Amino acid sequence: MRKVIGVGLVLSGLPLLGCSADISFSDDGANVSTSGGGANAPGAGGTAGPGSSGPEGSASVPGGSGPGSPVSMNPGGAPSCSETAQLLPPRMIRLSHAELRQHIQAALPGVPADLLKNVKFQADHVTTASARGMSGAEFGIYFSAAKNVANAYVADSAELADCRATALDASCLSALNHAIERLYRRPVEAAEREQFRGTFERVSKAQGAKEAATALITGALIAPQTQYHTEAGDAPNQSGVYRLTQHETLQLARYALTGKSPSEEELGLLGRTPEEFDRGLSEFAARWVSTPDFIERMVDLSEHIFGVQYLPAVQREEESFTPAVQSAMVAQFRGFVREKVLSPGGNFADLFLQNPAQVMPELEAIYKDDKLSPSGESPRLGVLGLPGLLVTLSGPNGSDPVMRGLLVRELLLCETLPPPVPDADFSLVKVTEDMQTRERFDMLAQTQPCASCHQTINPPGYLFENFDHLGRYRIEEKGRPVNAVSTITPPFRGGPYEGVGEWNGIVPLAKWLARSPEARRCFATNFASFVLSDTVPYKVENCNMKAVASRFVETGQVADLVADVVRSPLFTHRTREVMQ
Amino acid sequence: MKIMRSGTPLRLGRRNFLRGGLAGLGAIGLAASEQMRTAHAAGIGQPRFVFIYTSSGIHDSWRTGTPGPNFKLGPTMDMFEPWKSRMTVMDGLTTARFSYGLNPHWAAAHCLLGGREPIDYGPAPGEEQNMSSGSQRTFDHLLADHIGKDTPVNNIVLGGLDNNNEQRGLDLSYYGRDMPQRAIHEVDSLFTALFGEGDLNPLPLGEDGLGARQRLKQWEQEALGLGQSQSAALRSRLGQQELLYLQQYEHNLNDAFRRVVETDPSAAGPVNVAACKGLVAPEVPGDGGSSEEKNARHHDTQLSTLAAALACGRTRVGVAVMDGIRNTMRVTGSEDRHHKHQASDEHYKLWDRYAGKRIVKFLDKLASYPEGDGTVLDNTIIIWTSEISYNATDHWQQYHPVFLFGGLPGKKLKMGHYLQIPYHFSSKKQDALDDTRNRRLHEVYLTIANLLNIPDLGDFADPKYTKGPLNELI
Repeated sequence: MRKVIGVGLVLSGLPLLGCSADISFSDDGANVSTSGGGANAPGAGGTAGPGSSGPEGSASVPGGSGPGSPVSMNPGGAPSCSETAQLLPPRMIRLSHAELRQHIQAALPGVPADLLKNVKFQADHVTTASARGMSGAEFGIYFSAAKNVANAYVADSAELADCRATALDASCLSALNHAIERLYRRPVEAAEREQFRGTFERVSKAQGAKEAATALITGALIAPQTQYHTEAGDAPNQSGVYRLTQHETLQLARYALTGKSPSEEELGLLGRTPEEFDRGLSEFAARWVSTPDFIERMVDLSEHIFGVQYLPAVQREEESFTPAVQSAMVAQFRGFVREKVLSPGGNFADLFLQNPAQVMPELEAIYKDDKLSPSGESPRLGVLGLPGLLVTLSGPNGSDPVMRGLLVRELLLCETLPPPVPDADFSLVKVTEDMQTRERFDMLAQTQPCASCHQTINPPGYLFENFDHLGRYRIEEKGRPVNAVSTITPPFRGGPYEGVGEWNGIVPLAKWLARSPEARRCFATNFASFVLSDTVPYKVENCNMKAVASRFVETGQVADLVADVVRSPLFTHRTREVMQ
Repeated sequence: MKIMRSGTPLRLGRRNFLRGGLAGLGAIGLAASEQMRTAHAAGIGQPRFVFIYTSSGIHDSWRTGTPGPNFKLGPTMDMFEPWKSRMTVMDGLTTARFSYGLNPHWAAAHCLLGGREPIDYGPAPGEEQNMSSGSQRTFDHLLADHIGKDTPVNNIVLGGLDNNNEQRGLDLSYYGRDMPQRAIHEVDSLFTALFGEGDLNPLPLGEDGLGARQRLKQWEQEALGLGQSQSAALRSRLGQQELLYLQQYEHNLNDAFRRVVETDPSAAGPVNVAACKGLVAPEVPGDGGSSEEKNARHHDTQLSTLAAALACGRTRVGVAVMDGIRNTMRVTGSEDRHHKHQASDEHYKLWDRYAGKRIVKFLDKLASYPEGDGTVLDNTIIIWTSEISYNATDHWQQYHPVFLFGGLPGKKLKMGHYLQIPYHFSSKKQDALDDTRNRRLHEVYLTIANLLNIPDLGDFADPKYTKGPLNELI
C-alpha cells in the first residue's frame, strides 16, 4: 500500500530533509543551519509551473471544461479523462475518531458520551486514508471501549429490552440486527445475519441473552463494516475504471464534508439514474456548506493548507508567549477563516484581502508595532499577516524565510520541488553573528549544492521578513533596516507567473494571491485531496482538476467548489489494477 | 533471519509463520512460553526490551575509547556515573545499509529497528519525491511475538511531542510492510492503552475467580471471533487493493483473538499484582515553565508510565520516541531546535544531557520495582540510540552511538563495559556502510534474541550485512 503524503503535510517533514535543516537562528547566534528542499539533482525534481506542460492526459477534457459542466462521460460510463493513473485506486477509508464517536452515538442512542472517550486514534479527518492506521495498543483501547459501549447499550436501551431476559428470544435477535444495521450504515446481509445468530446462540446458551447481546454489539463495533467505508463498486474483481456504487459515493461525500451519515432525504437519491444522482448529490453538497459540521472541517483543513496545524504545540522562550496568547492565535486564525471564506458571501479572495475586524486583547501587544509601518498603512493583509501563521512558520528564535517561502510555493501554489540532495557540506556556509536573518539564509542560497533550490524557495519567504518569530512587525534587525523586498521567481521548470513584480512586504503578495488562478487551482486541489482523503494524483495537473476548479477560479465560492468536486470522476470513479 | 546457535538452527520462516496462521503462532510461541515457565520456576523475572530513540544524533564526545570495565563516560554522559555497572557502551557499530539517495535521517531511522533498507515503492503518482517507503516487521514486533505474546499489550510505541509524526520521519516501529505503529503521545491515552483494558472490563462475570476468567475468555473469544468472521465476509466483497487496508486491521483483530485463545484462565497470569497496585492515571503535564521543563514533564510521565507497565506485566516491549514536534522542542541554553546544522558543540551536548536525565529517571523507576532477588531493571534491556552518528552535522552512520542499560534475566549480557568493536572507517561513508566487515546495530538485537532462545526472526535484517550475534556482548 502506498503512503501518500496528504495535503498540507509537506512542511512537517522539512527539517528532516538533507539540505534542509532550518536556518532559523538565535538573534545573537552565529550559527546556521539550512532548510528547504535541498539542492537539485540532475534530472531530478521539477514542477508544474505556469509555463510547464503537465503529465500525460493533462490536456483539455472534451466537453467538460465549462462552468457547471462535469467532465463528460464516454458511452461506457467511464470518465473521458481516462488515464488510469489520474484516478485513485480503491481504498478502504477508516472513519476518523471523531466520526466514529459521532456515528456510534447516533447508531446506539443513549450511550453515555464518556464511554466513548477512548475511541481516540491518532488519525483524524484531515489524515489520508492510508495513514489512518491503528496499532495493536490502539485496538486494545478500542476493544475496551467497545465492550463498555455495548454493555451500556444492552443494559439501558428500550430497543433491547427483550435481550435482558435470560432465555433466547427471537425479538431480541431482530432488535440486535436493527442496531447493527445502523452501525453498518446498510442492511445486514444474510450471511452476516447467520453469523450473528450463531454467536448469539452460543453465548446465550452458556452465559445468557444479555451477555450474548453484548457480544454481538461488541463484535459489530469491532467489525470493519462499522469502521470503514469501502470503494469496491459493483464488481470488485474487475480491473480498470469503474464507478463507485451510489451508496458508497453518498457515504463518502457526506462523511468527507460533514463527518456524518446521510439523512433519510439524502438516501432517497439511491437508485436514480447516474445523471440524476450526480446532480442531486451536487445540490445536497452545496447545501452542506452552510452547516457547522462542514465549516469546522474546512477550518481544520485550512490549518493544514496554511501550515498552522502545529500552532498549539509551538514553543517559544519569551515570557510574552503565554498559553493565552497561543490560544488566542489559534482562535483568531480559525475565526478569520470561518468569517472570510465560509460565511454567507465569503470568498477566497477575502481570505487574502481583508484583515480581522478586531484584534483580540491577548494579541494587542503583537500588533502594537504595526504603527511603525513607514507608509502609515497596515503592513499586514489577510491570512498571511495573522500572527499565528507567522509564528508557526518561524524558528524558535527568528523568522524562517524557507518555511515561509515553502508556504507560498508548495502549499499555496502547489509547486513541486525537487527532492533534496543529501550530504550537503554546510561548512561552506559562512555566517557571522551580525548578519540578519535574510543575509544568513541568502548565504545558504548562494552555496552549492543548496543554491539551485534555495534561490527559488527563499525569495517569496523574504517578503515576510518584516515579521519576527512572534508575529510582530519589525523594521529593524541587528540594528539595521529589514529588507523585505523580493518577488516570486519562476518555479522550477516553469515560466514566470503573470502579474508578479518586485514587491516590498506581504501586502502585494496577498493581493496577487487573492486573484491568482494558480492559487485558486491549488486551493481547489488541496480541497479535493481532503474530500478524497488522499492526495489528488498529479495534483493541480490532474486532468480532472480543470473541470473541478473551473467555477471556483471564476467565483472564489467554496459552495461551487464543493458541488463540482463531488460530481467529478475523480470522486465518483476509481481505477483498479489486478495485482498478481 | 535465522539466529545461528550451536547445532542446527530451528527454521520457521515468516512465510511459513503466516501460512500456518494461528498454528504457526502457537508453535513458535511454545518455545518462548516454555522458557518463561522455566524462568518463573527459577525465580527469574521475565525479560523486557525497551528501545529509546532521540533524533538527529548524539554528540560524538560519547566515544571515549576506554574499552573494558573501567571505562570513562563522555562529558555529556556523566549522569550515568552511578549506573556504570549496569550499562554498556558499544563503540564501533554502524547501521544496516541504506541508500543515501533517501533522506539520511529518515532512511536511517527506518533502519534502527528494521535492520534493512526501507522498501522503496517509488513515488506516488505525480510525485517526484519518494517519501513513501515502508519497512518490514521490526525487531520490537518480532520480539513481542515471543516475550510479549502473553501480555495484554504485546508492544507499545510512545512518542515525545511528535504530533503524530505525519511525514514518517520518526516512524521506527512497523508491524508489517508499510504498517507503522504510531507513537501514542498523550499521557492519558498511553495509560489507557497500557492499563485500561482489564480494569475497564464491564461484564458482570461474577466473583468466582477461575469461573469468571473462563467466562470472560469465552465471551471475548466469541466477540472477537464475530469481528473476524464479519471481516472475512467483507473480504469477499473487496478487490485486492482494498484488501491491503483490511489486512492492517485484521492483523490487530487476529492478534487480540490469538491472545485470548492462548490465555490460560487457570494461571495467575503475568500481572504482578503488587507492582500494579495503586496505579492511577498520571495527570496530564501542565503548561507552566520553560520549554525544557514542559518537555521533561511530558517525557518523564510517559517513561514512568511505561516503567510501571513493564513492572506489572502489562507489556514487555516498548519503544520510546523522545522528540519534539517539528523540531520545535527546546532545551534550556540551546541555540535552536536540535536539528540544526553547524551549531556549536555545546548545543548538541545540551540535548544529550536532556535525554540522559530522562533516561536516568527511567532507570531509577525500573530499579524501584523489586523482582525476585533484584529489580525489574535487572530483567529489562534498554537500548538508546539515534539515527545519526560520528558527528551531528555530517549525517554519518559510522561509530553509531549505542548505549545499553539494565540487562537480561540471568545476567546473560555483558554489562558494565565499554565494548570496542573493530570498525573499518572510511572517509567515504558509503564505502564504510558497504564494508561487510563492519558490524551493525541490528546484530545487537540478534544477540538478545539468541540469549532469549528465540530461534528465528523470519526475514528480519538484510543478510548481506549480518554476521549474527555479537560475541563481544555475551
